[in-house]
Amino acid sequence: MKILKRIFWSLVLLIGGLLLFVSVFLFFQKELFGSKTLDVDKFFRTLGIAQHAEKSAQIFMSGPDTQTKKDVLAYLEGVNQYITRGRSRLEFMMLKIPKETFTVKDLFLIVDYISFNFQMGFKTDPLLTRMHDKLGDEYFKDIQYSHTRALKRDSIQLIPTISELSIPVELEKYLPVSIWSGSNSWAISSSRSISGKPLLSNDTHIGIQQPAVWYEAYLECPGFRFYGNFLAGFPFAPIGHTEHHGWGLTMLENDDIDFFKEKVSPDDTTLVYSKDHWDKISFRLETIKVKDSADVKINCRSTHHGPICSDVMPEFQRMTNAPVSVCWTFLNFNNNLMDATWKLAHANNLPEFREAVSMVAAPGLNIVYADRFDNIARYTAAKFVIRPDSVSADMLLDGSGKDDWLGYYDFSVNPKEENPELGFVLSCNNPPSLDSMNLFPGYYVPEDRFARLKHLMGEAEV
Amino acid sequence: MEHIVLDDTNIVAADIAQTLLSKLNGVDIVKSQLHERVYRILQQWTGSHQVNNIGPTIYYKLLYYSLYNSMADEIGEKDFELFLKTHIQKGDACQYFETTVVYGGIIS
Repeated sequence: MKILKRIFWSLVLLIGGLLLFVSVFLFFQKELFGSKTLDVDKFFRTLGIAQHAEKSAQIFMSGPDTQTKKDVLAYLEGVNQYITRGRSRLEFMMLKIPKETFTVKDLFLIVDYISFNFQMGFKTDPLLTRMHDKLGDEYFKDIQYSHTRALKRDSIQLIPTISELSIPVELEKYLPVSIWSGSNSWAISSSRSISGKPLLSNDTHIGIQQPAVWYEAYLECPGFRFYGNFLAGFPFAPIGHTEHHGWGLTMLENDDIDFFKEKVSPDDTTLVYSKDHWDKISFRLETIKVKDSADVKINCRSTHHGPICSDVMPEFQRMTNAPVSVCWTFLNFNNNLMDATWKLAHANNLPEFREAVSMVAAPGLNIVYADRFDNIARYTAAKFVIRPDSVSADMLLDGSGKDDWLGYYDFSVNPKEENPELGFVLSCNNPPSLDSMNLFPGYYVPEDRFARLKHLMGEAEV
Repeated sequence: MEHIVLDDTNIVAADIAQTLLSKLNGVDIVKSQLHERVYRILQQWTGSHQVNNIGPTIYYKLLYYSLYNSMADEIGEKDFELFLKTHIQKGDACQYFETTVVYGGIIS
């Protein structure tokens, strides 16, 4: 294990500066960059990303002493070696950032932050609600918008809306990590390859940025050889291959986020209605230190659905006077991507790999797999939400209880393909199955790339 | 393998382009030689996106203005910008244009 530890350290030395850039943004963002990014900070604090990461880290650390935990700690030790013993970097001196060592929570925070990147719902749902309430069902028929099931819903009385740019879209301008979209992945079995071996391909697409967040690395020590694409600050590779198997991914873009218009008690503004009783709104006071002005104190409110995001999303304030909360699979589960990615790399066979895939709750991923024993597979890694039939997942929902989520589908119903007769599996952010319109609503990308790839696959051996 | 990874053809877009052109058939919009040339280039476009292809430029301009003229007046300029940033705008464009009616050269 000593050798593995050393490998982790040397890796960390290579990527130290890059990692610090991302994480510094997360922890000191406000203090460093002044009031320009205040809205970004308010948004993340209201969502409670830091609390979620902290809780996930606590659960991870209080669990059994697995090899995963040992590896995470070894990685962290490497990062901190670099911070305490490495040379001070110019950008840190210029920005007067004090040297601080990392904790396990910080690593979870990085994973949480990267996961947030995938949230299409934050910009799509408010827009669709506005369009629907202004122009009605007919309009949706016209634009052939079919990703959602029932569009019919009880009309929620909205305040006349003025179109506004969405806060999440504005945020993208200030985030150090580009938004991910447009990935392709495929695997073919030996029956279709000239070499007689299965092939796996994955080109993940992410906006251009500097410093790059992805880096390639090859790890080798007795009993372990691994080549993968890593993310700065995350110990295990989201994509990679061992001597036994390899896997790639594309974003699934399933809809695991809904917004609820809460019904507030007329007598007490700290109470919201839930099915048959009044529920207390919880409060959390956060202080944001601002570099070029006084501290800003914000009150982060949450209901039983989740954080009240209308406090930081004016697009909701313009629709309704009532608080709007966000119910998001990502926040409803602890982040266990450390365990899941470790297991993806250490799986010894297809069932073990499938087991690792089943651990992922959010963000939703398509995972394409191939191994040396000629197995190929495509999985959807996500907890798909069970919604009442009457609910349209893209609209602002009624928070009083009737639109509430009913739970999550068991992993066994997630769309998947294992060793299909055709001899290939494809994923291009497309809808994961033919009936996905009904069971699994999402912000899927249309068939363009999928159709072409399927066409090319049919043409010849690869 | 390289052939697949470096592919730049969008067969769906080529299909939509033909649907759009069929809608323009019989409509008096081809008013100059330039119009005619543009029409012909799009007609022959196979969906390829090579650096020298002019087809994609015409296609995306036409698509953009078709959507803009159809929607911006109803949902507003700013929401239209936002709409372009989501995946819904990429929806079933082919079906959408099947039902499109062209009025005097203005697609609505």
